[in-house]
Amino acid sequence: MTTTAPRAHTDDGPGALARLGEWLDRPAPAERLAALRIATGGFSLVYFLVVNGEFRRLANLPSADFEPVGVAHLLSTPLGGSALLVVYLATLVLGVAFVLGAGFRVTGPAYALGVLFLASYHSSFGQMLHFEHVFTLHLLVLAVSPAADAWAWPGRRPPGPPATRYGWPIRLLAIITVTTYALAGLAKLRYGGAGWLDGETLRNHIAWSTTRLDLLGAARPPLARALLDAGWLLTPLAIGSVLIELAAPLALASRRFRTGWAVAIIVMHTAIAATMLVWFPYQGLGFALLPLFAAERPFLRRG
Amino acid sequence: MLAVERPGPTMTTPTQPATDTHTHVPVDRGRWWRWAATLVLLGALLAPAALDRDGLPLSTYPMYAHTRDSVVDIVAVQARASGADIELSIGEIAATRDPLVAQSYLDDRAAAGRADEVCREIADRIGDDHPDGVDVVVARERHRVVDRARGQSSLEERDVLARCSS
Repeated sequence: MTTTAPRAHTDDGPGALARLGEWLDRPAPAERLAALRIATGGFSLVYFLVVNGEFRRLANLPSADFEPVGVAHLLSTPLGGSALLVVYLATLVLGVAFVLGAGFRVTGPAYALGVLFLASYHSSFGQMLHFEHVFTLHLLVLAVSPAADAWAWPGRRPPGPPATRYGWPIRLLAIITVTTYALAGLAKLRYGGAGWLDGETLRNHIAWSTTRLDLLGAARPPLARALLDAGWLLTPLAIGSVLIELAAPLALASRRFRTGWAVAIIVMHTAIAATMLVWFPYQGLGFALLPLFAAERPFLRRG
Repeated sequence: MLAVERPGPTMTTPTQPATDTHTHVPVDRGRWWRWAATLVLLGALLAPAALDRDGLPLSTYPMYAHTRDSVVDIVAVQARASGADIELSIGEIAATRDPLVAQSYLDDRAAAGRADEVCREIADRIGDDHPDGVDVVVARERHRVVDRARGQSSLEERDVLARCSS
């Protein structure tokens, strides 16, 4: 007589939990996780280099403007200019090590915590900046994963065959990406209600962004006026954008859907930039979507 | 490290009888750990929505989610030098390149009754470029934003909050 341990699936095929478990445990090559380390680390490093002027500005703001967010709550007063400069520069140096994979067990978590602090501090003067949330979360996961087992400097022994320890962190990164989009879709229904879907709220947001830029002496969004003139487009665009966001978790389940959804996300961010001059670079350039794909393949083919 | 991968025993134990109540069911601890950590992450991501509390790095992602009226109060800045209007840049108004930050800077300070301070800061920033002096006005304006975006007249009300010169 033979028997088995508790069954993970039914006779009709694996159950939902078993399939989910199989998905979480699915092996991936070390190079895929390393590619995500390099892409996310590289993006965040360039991002903080580009916004260096923001940290110079923050250093000159009065203490009265300080409204701590996130880990900035650890501070009772804002950092002095020199201390902020040291934290900023140290984070950049750690970022280079993160991208290279050098001393990753130390530099990985140190860089992720540095970015967490800088992002929190950046949003601690009255304006929550939602551009920095997703890459900060991605860095925190990558920092405690074996993301430097491949494509790291200095080189080590080859990482071995595809394994769950490389695949599972990638699943977590993908879960973060799709959950944040689903939450953004839910927020529109929660805070905007059904009114968000009739296009009027979208129209007013586009018009408000244009007015704000106009009054601040900046260039107007190139497609704002055309879209406002073609008012009939606003309702389908509002419904479409909420559907794209709410449908994000389906990208984890279906390979075919995933590619179409990713294209829709890129188009959506490009349209937001063209009509409101609001640009989410980590998402709009596709970096946030990389955990859904075999990010290492373009580099392996070239190699 | 997120590197939990303990192969452990397989889930099938073909040599043990089904009726043995003392059957030892091997547990893949790595798998349980991964499940638990995944659920914790998911719970953390969803917590701000459940608590309706925005933060960083966990957020409700409320960007452009709230309804917005077509008539909006907005703090604006005008400057004149040598009898002519000056077109100010975002950097001259708020020492930033980010329009979201600049508008937040104006709105927050005006709301806190610090419009005079904003006025002086702007006058100081642009004063060097206008040696004959510059006049700055910070005002709360009410605009019909759709009309403004279409290039039409949009101003409904204007309430001057501060005037200063350099």
